[in-house]
Amino acid sequence: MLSVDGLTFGYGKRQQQIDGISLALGAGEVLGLLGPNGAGKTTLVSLITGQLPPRSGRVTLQGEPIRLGHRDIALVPQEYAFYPKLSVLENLRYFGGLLGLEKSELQTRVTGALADTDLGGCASVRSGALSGGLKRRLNIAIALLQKPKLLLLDEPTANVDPHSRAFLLNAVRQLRASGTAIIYTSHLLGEVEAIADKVAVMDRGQIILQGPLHCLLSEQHNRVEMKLDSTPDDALCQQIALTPTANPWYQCNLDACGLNLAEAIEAVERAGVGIQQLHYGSRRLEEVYLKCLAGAEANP
Amino acid sequence: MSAWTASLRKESLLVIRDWHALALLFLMPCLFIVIMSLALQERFGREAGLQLAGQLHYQSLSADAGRLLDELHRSAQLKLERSDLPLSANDHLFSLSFTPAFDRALAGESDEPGLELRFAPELGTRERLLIRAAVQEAFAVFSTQALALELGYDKNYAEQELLRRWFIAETEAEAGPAQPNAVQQNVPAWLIFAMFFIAVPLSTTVIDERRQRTLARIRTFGAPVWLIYSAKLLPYIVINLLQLLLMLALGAWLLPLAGAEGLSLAVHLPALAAVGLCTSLCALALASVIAAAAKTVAQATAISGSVNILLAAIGGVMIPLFIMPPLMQKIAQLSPMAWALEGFLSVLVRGGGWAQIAHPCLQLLALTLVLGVIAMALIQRGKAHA
Repeated sequence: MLSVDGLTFGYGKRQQQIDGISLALGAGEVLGLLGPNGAGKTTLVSLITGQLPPRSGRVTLQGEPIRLGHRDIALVPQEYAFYPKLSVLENLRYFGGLLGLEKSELQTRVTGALADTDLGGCASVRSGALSGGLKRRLNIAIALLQKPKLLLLDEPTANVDPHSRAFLLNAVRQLRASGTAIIYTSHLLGEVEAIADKVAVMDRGQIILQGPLHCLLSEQHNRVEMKLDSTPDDALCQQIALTPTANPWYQCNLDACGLNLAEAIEAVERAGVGIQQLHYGSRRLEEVYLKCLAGAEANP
Repeated sequence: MSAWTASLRKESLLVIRDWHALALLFLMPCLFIVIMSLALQERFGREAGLQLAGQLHYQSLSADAGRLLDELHRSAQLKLERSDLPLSANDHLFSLSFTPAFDRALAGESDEPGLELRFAPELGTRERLLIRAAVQEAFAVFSTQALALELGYDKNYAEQELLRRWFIAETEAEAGPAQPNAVQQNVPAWLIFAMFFIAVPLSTTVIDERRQRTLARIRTFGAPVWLIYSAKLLPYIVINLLQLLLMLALGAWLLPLAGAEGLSLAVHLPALAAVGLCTSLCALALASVIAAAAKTVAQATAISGSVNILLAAIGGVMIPLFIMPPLMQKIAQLSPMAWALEGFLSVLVRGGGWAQIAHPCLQLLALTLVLGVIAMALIQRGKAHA
């Protein structure tokens, strides 16, 4: 559905802020876009929405080049991009009005957006008086008026309470289920891990890692995380290449010791050390992300 | 609902709900007009020929002193009232005393003065000269008439043959602009000042939209720049015109109740509206430049305030142009507020119409065009760096 090919961008004659980015996203897929502050995530979002013209490369949606104001693309900025002096309903009617819809269609979409974000109860409340979580919902509700095929969410859960975060993530899952392609930028890796199908990590205007989430998490499955009930002796540590991570957690490198998982567990038990918990076969996204950035830092 | 209608409705709601801005745009000029019109009423009136109030001191009057007093009372410049209080105890600007030596001094039998003029310390040089001239004129008339009577002629002979008032003709050198009274000056002046203050709420709205990325979002909805800005500016034009109506009503009907001279609205109203519209467009163009150039609300507020006060100070809003020295009057022509004020005064004071407002209106529209182009260039540059 969305295709980004060799995209580059820079302000004036300055160095390129976006450098040769390519990615693809299908209908009903969620791409988690990660990266440190200043990596170029928001600039990439602006290029995809057509707000900025690329120096080279192209962005297409369903084979057609993107232009600013493409009705199938909706943006949810990180900021509360609505009018605090207007009520929830007035904000939705205004943004819906920008689409030039017939009165009945506008009413249908406004009602739908209120229902999808569960904002019906505070439709007449001034937006500026809403809680942080409800403001985030309104931010998304406005984007839903467009019935977009591609939705760009820029840190949509920043500064919201756990209850509202759960609601918003559920809303994203429902959108994905309805076939909407979603680009989701966030610093909260647990969120991305919970909803993304694909992940792309950006640094200094480049994508330094991308792929399906499950593939990234299952790479290097030769590592075993163990929570032990006592401190292992040096012999055991040498035998199964065991190194402490955060007490009482240890990491066993199966490649280094030449054992399989069963043999490693057997060696630990033979040494009289109990295993309280064990993680194997996948690693958390945070670990992948930090390792990836550390690698990029070491080889700029 | 069309995109433009939705935008217009949104902007109108935002303006109506901004109480601080409404107070700044309506309450502030009303207060300025009332205060300045009443405070400067006497000053403007004096320039236009009102009398200077003074008090008379005397114990008793001889027949000659009585005739001089009659002559002093006839003076168009003086308004005299007998009082034994010191000058500081009332509003009088000067005191005129008939000394006990008046009759002897008149007969040339004493070197003491017959009259004593005493001025209030705060009185300006111009007023002192005016009072002195008026007293001297009254004394000259009294002396001439006394001389004529002594020579056996009557008062009429003294008037026609000795004083010969007809000898000096007074006419205007050329048709100059009539001077406004306090209300005619202050109503349009502070109205223009308030109209240009539209920059504060307009720039605040635009900068908030930019900072919150609401503008970016609006553009992803497909709204073109011209639609966004035309819908944004129209409610402010309406506000400017409401300011015009309110301030004129204040000058015409409310200020007379407070004792000020009323503003006559028996003038060319379409021309007045045209000056108001041109002023509004110019104010909005300037506001658009400030909104596009400033990065924060604090910056925009500071720039708007400073620019407005500067334009008002040199443009004849705070100090009337006709009081300024010639050099400052030339410098004033750099301020669009001076052009707008000239347009309003042409209609309100001099009874002008289309021909008289054409020049100031064209000046305002030309500046509007220049500022509009600058604002669009800044907006385009801002888009590129969004």
